[in-house]
Amino acid sequence: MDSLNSPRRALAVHGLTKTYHAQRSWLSLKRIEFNWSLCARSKKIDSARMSYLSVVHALRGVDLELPAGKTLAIVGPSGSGKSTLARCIAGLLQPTSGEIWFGDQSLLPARAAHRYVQLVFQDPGASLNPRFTVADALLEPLRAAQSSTRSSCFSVAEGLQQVGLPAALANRLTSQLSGGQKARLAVARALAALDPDGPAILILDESLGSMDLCVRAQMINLLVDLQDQRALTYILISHDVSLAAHMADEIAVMAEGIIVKREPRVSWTGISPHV
Amino acid sequence: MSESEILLRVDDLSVTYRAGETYLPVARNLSFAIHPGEVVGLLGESGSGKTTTALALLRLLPKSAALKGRARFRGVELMEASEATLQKIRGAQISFVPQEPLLSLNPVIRVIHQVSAVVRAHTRLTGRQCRDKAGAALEQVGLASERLHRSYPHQLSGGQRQRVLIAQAIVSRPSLVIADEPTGSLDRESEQAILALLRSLVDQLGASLLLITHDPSILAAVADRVMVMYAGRIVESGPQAEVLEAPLHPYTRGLLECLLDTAQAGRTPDDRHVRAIEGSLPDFSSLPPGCAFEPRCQDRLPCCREADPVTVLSGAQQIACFLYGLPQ
Amino acid sequence: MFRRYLLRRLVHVIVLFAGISAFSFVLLELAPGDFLGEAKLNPQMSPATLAALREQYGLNKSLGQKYLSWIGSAARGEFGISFAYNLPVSKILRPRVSKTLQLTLSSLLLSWFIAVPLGVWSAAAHNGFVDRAVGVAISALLATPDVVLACLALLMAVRLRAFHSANPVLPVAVLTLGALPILLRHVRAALLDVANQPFAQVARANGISGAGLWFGCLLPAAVNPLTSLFGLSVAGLISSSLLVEVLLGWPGVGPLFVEAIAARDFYLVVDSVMLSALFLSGGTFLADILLYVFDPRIRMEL
Repeated sequence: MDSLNSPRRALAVHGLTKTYHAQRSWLSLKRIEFNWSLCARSKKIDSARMSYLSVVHALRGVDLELPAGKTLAIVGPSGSGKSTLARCIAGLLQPTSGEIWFGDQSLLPARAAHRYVQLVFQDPGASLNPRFTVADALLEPLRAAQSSTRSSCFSVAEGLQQVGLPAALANRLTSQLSGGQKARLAVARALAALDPDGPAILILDESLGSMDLCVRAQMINLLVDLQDQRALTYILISHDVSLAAHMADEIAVMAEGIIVKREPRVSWTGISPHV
Repeated sequence: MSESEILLRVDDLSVTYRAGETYLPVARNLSFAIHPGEVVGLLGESGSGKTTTALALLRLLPKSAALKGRARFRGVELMEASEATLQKIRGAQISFVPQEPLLSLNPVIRVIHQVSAVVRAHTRLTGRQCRDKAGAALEQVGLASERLHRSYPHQLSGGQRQRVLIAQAIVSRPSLVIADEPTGSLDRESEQAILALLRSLVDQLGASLLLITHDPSILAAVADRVMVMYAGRIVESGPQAEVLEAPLHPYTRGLLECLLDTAQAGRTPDDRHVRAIEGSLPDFSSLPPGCAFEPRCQDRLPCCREADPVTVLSGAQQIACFLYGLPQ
Repeated sequence: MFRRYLLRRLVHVIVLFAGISAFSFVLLELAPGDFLGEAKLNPQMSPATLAALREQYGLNKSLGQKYLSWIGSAARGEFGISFAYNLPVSKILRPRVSKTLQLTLSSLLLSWFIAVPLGVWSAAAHNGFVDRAVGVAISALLATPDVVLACLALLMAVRLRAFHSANPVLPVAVLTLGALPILLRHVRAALLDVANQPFAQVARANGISGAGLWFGCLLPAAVNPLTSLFGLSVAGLISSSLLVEVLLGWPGVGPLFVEAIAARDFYLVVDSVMLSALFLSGGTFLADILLYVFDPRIRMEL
């Protein structure tokens, strides 16, 4: 499948790395290279000495291609770099090196990404400012992008309706919403910030993990419907393999900063992601 | 099991929060019993009142919560006991494993001292003896090394922190352990490990376990009996196999259909939709006079809107639904 | 690791000192008049003598030169010359410093030793009778300026014929009462804040109660916000002690400082300011060490 040549846009990531350097004080005397897996297996490096370590390789050369309108699930143990990858693609983190392309549009520098990629966080309710009204929460990303034309065109009622929320909620405070309503609002906010006409990517970073079953079921149905209506591309990050197997077209397994395995859903054999 | 073998008997327990002028009946007319050595699952979504029930048993609710009803534990009436009696019971006879391990541990005290503090609160042992007991409890939950004992909570992984909380709960050998979403923030592997640990510990201690969760798949592995809560009431309870495989109450049926790996039969592989219960939990400040689930129920009857269903026994199961017992 | 932390803090302190000394030099230079200002008005002094004195005292030097010569003098241990006393400043200040230290250290310790248990008691029984009574007393003390407190104390002592300027009890009592309200309020607030955290409820669920809960579990978690308060309380005590020493006749740095300002005794003033800065830095340094000892998260963030 030659996805990059297809007329619809696709996500392509090449050689993405992210290296963290701890704060260098002129009094720091040692710099030791650090390897997560080495630490886990070696009993000699214990946490007390970790503060001497000043380099962390969160992503070590990630390559990814994803055709538009499909869902990719990224699974892996904690610390494998899934969230870092999500944030780099969403433009919240500047990668150390590598390229991110969405069709023929480069998503670096980070600010370019917001129109095409949005992130829905774990615990969507906590990412909402409790003192905002629902309308404020929806308009916040548009105001932040300082796009006055888009703000005026945007209809709060439509935005709410898209996710199945009644327009009457527009003036409620976000803290007064139920868990399910907050989750829907988080998705609505992400959609509001995206370009309404163009294809776009929604990244769900463990968003469906700790939800109640009923709310999660409703959210899955909502996301499936939205994907059909707006040809959205989803990247679903989860440690719950059954959720990934249900929703995704392809599943990628990450460990220690790189993607180690990638399989389409139908051939997913359910092997533990812990390689 | 005979009447005299009941460890905890709860009769008509109700918790009502007062927020200014409004009254929120968060738990209504709860009645259940737990026998020694039993693992009982309390299944419900957030906002159904399950954590409130646990805190009510330990009398840890804020003063704005009004408690009614009775809860008899080993001859002690919990709702009327003095604070001194309750302090002796909490942690030593009834213990609590909370959720959110990072927030539930003191960030500035080493883990071993946090566990030995529990010992010190209930015994008259010396510092050294308390620490030894704490060390033994930590080993029992799988944290054996000295280095782990002397760590601070933020140096441990999520699974390890949850084990510390479990160690705190079992160190004084309680008869009843209440675990509130013990695997909520953990990934699948750690989840299985923690559940297995809990089950083996209560078997060793001969204690009972009240496992509170919103995820039925957890209960399949460990629970003997399951109680399902909705909007503050227990709508169904019975042996685990029957409740989870042949649920009677419409809510339980709808809830189990939301599970991903099981009940999606009849759908084409490309259809990613999940069978879901429409609507959401009712607002506690404006509960309808009849059954709280009625607005979302597929099998509703006319009488469901008028009166709250009374609990009916159907075999070994109890169910609060008019489908199984019309009002007289 | 601890050494590195100490080293870093020490460097901060040194930089702070350099900054304060430069700043006070500039301020004093900007203030009108100098030591010989009054002498100028004296008709018996000829301008020539005045000029010669000026030269001798180094009052004609530029600011930079004055600063450098002060640093040189500091290196020698003299820290400049007092024009009024005609002695090296260090010799004048040394006995006074120990007197002021007696007061400040005693009231620091005393105020904290009262504030912490009383704060715990108030928080544990909050909104009870003790808490309310203490709250009223605190508000009254807080509303009373240090000056008024000192004068009232003086009045009482004189009436009781118990006043003696060499007795430290009265000044320490006044300083402590002045510092207590804010400390108490903050200790209580910090403890109540910690008591609402999830881990406090979990501790109660485990049966921990009473002194074990408040002193063993909650107080250690409340130390972080309180250590910054510690540094501030030292600063507050220094400025209060200035006032109290003057009013109650305690032979500390305070009265000397006030005199020196009135007389425009340049180096004495600068050195007294540096002393206050030294006390303050010492206080915050101690606070940083306490924070390192009590909060393991700080150790990780190194």
